[in-house]
Amino acid sequence: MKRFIYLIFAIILSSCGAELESIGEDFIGNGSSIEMYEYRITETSTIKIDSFATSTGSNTVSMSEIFIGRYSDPLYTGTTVITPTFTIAPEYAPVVDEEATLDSITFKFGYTGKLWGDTISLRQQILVLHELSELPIYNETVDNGMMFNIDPIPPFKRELGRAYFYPNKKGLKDAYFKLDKNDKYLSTLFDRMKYKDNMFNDLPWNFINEFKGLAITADKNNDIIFGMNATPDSLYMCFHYHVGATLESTVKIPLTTPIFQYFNATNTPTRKFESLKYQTDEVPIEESAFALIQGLSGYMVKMVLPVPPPQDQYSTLVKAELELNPLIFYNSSITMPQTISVYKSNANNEILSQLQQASGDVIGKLEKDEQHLDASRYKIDLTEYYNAFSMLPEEPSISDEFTHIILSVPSMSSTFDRVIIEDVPVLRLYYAHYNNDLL
Amino acid sequence: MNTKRYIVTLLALLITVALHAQNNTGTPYSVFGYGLINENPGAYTGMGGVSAAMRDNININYLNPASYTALDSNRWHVQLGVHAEMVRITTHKESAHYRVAGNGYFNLGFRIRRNLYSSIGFTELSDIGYDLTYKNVIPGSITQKYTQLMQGEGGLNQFHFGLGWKYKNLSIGANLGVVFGKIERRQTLSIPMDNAYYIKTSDNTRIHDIIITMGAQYVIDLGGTQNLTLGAYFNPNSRLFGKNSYIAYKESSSSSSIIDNDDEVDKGFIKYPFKVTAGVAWSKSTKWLVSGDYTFQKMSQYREFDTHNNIKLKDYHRASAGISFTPEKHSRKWYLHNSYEFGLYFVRSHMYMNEHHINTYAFTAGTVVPFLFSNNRQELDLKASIDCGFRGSEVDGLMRERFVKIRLSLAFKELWFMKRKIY
Repeated sequence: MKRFIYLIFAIILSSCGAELESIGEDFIGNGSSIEMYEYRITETSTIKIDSFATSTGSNTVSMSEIFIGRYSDPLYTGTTVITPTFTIAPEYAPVVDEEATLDSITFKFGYTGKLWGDTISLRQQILVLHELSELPIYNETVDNGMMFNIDPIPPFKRELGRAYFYPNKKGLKDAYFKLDKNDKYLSTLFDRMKYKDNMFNDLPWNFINEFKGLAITADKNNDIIFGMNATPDSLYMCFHYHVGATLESTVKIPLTTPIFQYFNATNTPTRKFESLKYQTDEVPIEESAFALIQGLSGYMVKMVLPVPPPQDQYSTLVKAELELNPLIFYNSSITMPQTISVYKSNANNEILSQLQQASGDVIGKLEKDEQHLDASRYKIDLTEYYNAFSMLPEEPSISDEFTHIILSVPSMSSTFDRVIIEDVPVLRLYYAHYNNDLL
Repeated sequence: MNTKRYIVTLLALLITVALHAQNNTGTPYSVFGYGLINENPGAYTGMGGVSAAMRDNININYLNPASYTALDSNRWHVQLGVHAEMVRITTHKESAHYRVAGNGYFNLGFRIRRNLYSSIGFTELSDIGYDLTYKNVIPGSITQKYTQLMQGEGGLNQFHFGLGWKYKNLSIGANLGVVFGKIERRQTLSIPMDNAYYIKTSDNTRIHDIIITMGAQYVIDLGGTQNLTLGAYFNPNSRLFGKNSYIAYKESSSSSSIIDNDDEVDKGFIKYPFKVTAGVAWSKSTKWLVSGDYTFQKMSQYREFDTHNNIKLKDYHRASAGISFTPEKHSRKWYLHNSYEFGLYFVRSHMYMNEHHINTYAFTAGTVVPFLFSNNRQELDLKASIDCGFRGSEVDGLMRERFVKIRLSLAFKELWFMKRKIY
């Protein structure tokens, strides 16, 4: 009897197990499924925005970096010239011995590590430092005091010096402007330091009102754009002097007052994009044979997406993905961004709100194929966007506006990265049909 | 002795509950209707599952309530059974296997008054259990696949209370069965892409209602020690009340919030079609017993809520035959007083797929070992039987299941209704 009961328990405990994962595939019907709809986004165009901000507009918040340089690409980008301007002033009244003798004057700049352009042919680059004849116009009540890439640089008073360097890491790290110590104004400035001139009181305003500011231009033969550190300890004028035979010292006049810091970025387009004079202008991809996204130049891509197909009660969107096929350059002088920002737009190409994941992550990412670079693609996740679409009221005008988007580099004013889209983008919508009909 | 009785009864109840809690099948064939119908039910599984004309004074043949009148008039009867199943499933391109245990039943039988007997018990009518994962190419794509996970569980169970009444050679009986259970079908649809949603649906039908089983048996004395028993029982068309709830929701892999919620609740009826079993049994003394059965159920009329999941089923047919041989019932030698059983059964099931009937062919064999205790006050039959057979075929995308089922059951009776005359 006991053995019988033990046998029963043994059967119960050991008898359950299954390895049935996929058998019967042709047996149980698939009334449910996931279906894909694919669309070629032929309404893809290149636009050029009217302007983008290149300053902070605030006296307390400064930019971490500014850009300088010139790059010319006759096929895609055209010519982009970037000229930064800023003010300098001592932090405190300099203390210089009256017996001090000026040895040299330099202007130092720091390299942020961002560099675009020809770094292979190692052609010597030339930068020119200018003194401004007047301060940039700052109006706190207009655009919150922000400066834009189209704001003109004030007129130059005179050239102060030049920097020569090769476009590589070491060259940029060691580069500086050498100013003429015999320049009448600069030598007089040094003397005024020694004798504690009134311009060194009530800093920085007394100093700025006299020494208006500086701008840096790139020589017309330059072919790089790079980032400069916009911090007082990286951007400064330096007076090197000695007292007596042995005592050598320096006085620095660093970057100051962020409200006057900005850069002008002007792009002269290629012939294909000459018609882009206003933000509402568009050049379709089929006309130009490519679509362009370029930082620091204002180029963005505008798309009109399709309205999602009507679905029955038991269908719902599970994934929406836009795929871009970028033109890949091996050893390119202009890098591609790792992410793409996507904004809602409208028929006037206005940049409205940014589309993001629920977690706040960007929705456009580069999927790089290290083995086959040509197979790299940008994938833009529009799932949340199309899910929201289903909740819109059924008015054609609302639906129509909802389908306009703009693609851009993550920050137009802080990168020269570029995406050239050579094929018509493809949108894929995945719908689950879950009617539960098994047979 | 009372303690032992209570422990045995408690064990029997626990085992039955535990087995009921398990998913008792793993076959995709259980997707049809209210699941895979138990193809070898009852107390005579070693004889091919014959039941219509079977009656004796040790087994509770709960399938035909007219058989209760064969129980001992002064003993109470307890019966329970378990089984384990090993199945190998093959298609034309792959194979798999599963093992399950379960299908417990538990019955009590006793006499109420002269010629009136009763039984209460619990048994399983059907089983649903499958857990399958499919990967299919997404229509519109060339290489991308989606994953479909399909799961089903549930089945119908019955708690019955029955009466049997005897008048001379005729016995009639009826079971009032409370049928309860669920038919649950779940699926998950997903695609292997970052931040994609996946869809989960659950279609759950809970059933609870009453069905009636009515039966009759007539014993013909053929002279000598031979008897011929004719028997039949049937369930009329029944409408089982059910409540169906359907819910669908989608979740993101990066977020656990519910986005959509399709929730429908429907109340209605599951049509449990007419079912009849008829058979004949011939016995000669306690040595020979031969029986045959035929079962028909009009499953083509099966409906769920009239409009919901109206799959097309075929009528159900089952034929079985069995033989039992006991060399010498009262011999002291164990191999002589054991009973040896053999049987066959064939099922043309309600399932019809890809223009093929899903049929089952099996043979059975078993043995019954009797025990006597306490000066013949207690009698116990231990039964072990085995089913070997196959279901379906591999043609046209179907599946063949080769199964081996081991069944163990215990039929126990004890003197209850006789007072001791000597103390």
